[in-house]
Amino acid sequence: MVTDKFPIDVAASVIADISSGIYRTPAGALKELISNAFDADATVVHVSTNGPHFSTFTCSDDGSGLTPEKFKTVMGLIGGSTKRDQGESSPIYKRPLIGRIGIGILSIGQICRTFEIFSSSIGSKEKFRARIDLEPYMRPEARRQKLGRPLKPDEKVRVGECEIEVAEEDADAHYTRVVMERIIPGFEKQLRSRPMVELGVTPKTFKKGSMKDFLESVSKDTVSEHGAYAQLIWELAATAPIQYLPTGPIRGASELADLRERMESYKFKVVLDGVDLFKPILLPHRPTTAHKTYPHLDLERRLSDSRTLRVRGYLYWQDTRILPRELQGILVRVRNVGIGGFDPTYLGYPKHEGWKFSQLCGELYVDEGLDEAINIDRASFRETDEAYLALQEFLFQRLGKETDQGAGVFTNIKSDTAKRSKRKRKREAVARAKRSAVVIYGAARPVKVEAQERHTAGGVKVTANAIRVDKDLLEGVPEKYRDLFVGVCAVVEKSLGAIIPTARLRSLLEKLAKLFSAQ
Amino acid sequence: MTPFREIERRRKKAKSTYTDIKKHYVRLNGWLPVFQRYSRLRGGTVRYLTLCAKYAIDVRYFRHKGLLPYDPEQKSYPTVTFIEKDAQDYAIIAEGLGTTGLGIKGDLEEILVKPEEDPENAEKLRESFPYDIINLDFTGEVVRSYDPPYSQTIRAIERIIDLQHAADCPEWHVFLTFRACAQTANHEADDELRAIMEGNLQNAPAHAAYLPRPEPRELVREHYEEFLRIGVTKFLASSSSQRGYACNLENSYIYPRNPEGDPAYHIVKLIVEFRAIRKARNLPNPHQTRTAYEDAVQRIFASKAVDVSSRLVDPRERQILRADLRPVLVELEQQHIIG
Repeated sequence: MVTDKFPIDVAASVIADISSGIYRTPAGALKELISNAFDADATVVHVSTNGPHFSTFTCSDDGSGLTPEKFKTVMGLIGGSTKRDQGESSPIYKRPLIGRIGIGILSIGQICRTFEIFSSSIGSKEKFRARIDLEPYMRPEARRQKLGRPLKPDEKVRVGECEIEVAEEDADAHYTRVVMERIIPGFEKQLRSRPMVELGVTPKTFKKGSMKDFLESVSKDTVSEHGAYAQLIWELAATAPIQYLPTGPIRGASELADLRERMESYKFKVVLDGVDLFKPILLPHRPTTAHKTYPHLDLERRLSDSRTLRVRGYLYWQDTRILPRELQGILVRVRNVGIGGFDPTYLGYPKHEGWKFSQLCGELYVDEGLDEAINIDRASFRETDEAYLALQEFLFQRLGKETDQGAGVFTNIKSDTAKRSKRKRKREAVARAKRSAVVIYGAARPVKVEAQERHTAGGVKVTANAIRVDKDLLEGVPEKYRDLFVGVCAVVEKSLGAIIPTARLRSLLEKLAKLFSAQ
Repeated sequence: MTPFREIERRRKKAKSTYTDIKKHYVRLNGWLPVFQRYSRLRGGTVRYLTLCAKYAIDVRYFRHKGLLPYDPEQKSYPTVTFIEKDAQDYAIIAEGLGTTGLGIKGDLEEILVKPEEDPENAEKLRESFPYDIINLDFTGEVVRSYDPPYSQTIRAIERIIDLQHAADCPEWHVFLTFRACAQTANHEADDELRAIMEGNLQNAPAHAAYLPRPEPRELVREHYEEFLRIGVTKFLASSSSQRGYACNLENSYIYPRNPEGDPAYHIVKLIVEFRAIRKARNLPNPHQTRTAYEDAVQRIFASKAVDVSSRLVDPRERQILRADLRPVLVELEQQHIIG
């Protein structure tokens, strides 16, 4: 048996963060595996959660894979990534590389403590199986021990053990497959949480074969109240570098075609439990909703430390609340990957804008300049970073102030809302007038039309629910005009019956009957 | 732990068997009618437990035949449970099928026989019973050479019968596949099976049904696969009768394999029906138990296995089988599982 054991070490500077779990949610951890696949030029990533039991997770991609040697290098020093040393984009699809630090692999530690990785690299006739055990180093006492000891600046600390074995493989095979067993009980429990059961929601409710159906099912409220599995789908779909739905993100917004094309050009797909994921943004939900797109939130600014901040973004507003609530806010994507979720504070916009925040959402694609501002959890920013401050300033200006590009978005919304309110008030006045007319003249209602055998003095009798016309009057009227004739008789009786003698009314109706008979 | 190279060597070998029409002959002629019967009986909701291996051909095939509940929008097989111990194959099955009622990464035998070592999966599996059809494709021997005669596989099968009985399943089927290889056999186990068989032959009607086969001692030497077919089925009959079921061998199939560099062997496939003779809450009845076993033994001795190879001489038959399997292979190609 060819077994090679070696220790896994990390730079001392990141040990505290890693030991305590660096990603906010399990979706954040899976996102890291997906990002690794994106960087490896994979075309498809399959994630399986083993729902509704959630006892084993798998994540497989058809990317360029790793050789055993490369894997040893990566695992041998967590946080010492050299990924970007060879360039800023992936070799085949020229995707901007996401990984920078080299701690993505440890993200799995957030989901489970032991896992297996299988991988084969293009051109290599070998594959490997690596069994990774983080358990001994994740126990509270181990953490205390490690953290309690003073660390020298460049000292390495062991966080796990890896056992690697090599076997033969076809030279053209290329993939990476991660199998995560013994899911952390809290996570498994969360995914099988009671709210889902109480709401009658199972994972399958959200798996109707497309993200469009998923959006339909969550668009009436929040995603989170549907349980942790819905949240997992949402977070993965919202943040991963995958395509928009065919007409997304905003229906009919041709100015955003470049964003759609950009995501399509990467040819990258994520399949969760057999269902293709797309970015869960397709607005407005109802085509009748009044809305407006601000398609160009673009910026290119040179920063003092020779970095350039390059942003392409948009904002979208509609005159009702945007649902689900998780979609309200701005999502910053650095190298196409969402950092955190949609931020409802708009990077801490300082003024109170009340309900307008709930009607607004947008995305900012930051292609350059912001990497260094991302915190190690890849879900938030260092808010004192110069690039972040520049982005914040740019967004605040576009939202609130008058600039050379025109009025701020909020000012625009205010004036638009005022115009709409005026039109709405007018519509309501017309509706009120109509309602008054109904009160005065009475509402139309169905009545029975009958021919009466008995000859009456007036020839017609109108009651609350019937019109009765003498049979002899109706006889000569052609069948196709009978309803009309009866209607005319009723109108004549209602308008003249009270003011002319009955005999006169009868002769009038006889004349009318002759007129109809002549038709 | 099995070395990775050895696992990979086995996986490579298994790779070539997905188009095996001998296997498919049994699927079409043996398994399919049983599925059809339960589909009618259960209104289309057949509960199925399988050791399907990475291609999950059985699951896909019976779905194509409309015999397994499947939601194409949710990509979900709500009544299917699969168990796979190889991590890579587990991932391929889970990702390829979508969602199943239950998917367990683990060793079925270990989970059943040593539940304390994997309590979570053992509990999930226990809760999932009963099943209408249980497909136990062990690929290896029922009693491996290094096992005691009362092997883990045998104890796992007994545990399955117990779980079915505890769940009050009135009737169900097992598709049991195992290897018969005289060179690598467990001779201690064979001796015990032979002794039991010789004991059965003391009964005149059973002896009459057994003929014209040679004496058990000869049968082990001359037709090991036939000896094992009878021996294993008789064990099932004995074990099930003590656990509240009467056992009936509906069909059995045998075909040879000649792997390069390894000894030749036979594959034996059994289709066994179990019918409850008492409910879980009732006391065992020794007379009922004995009658059920003796009836079963007589039927087993009277049974004859289908020689699959002889049925595939006709090229038209092979053509029919290939065409029948084609939709499944197309699906596997589309999912890039084969190519």
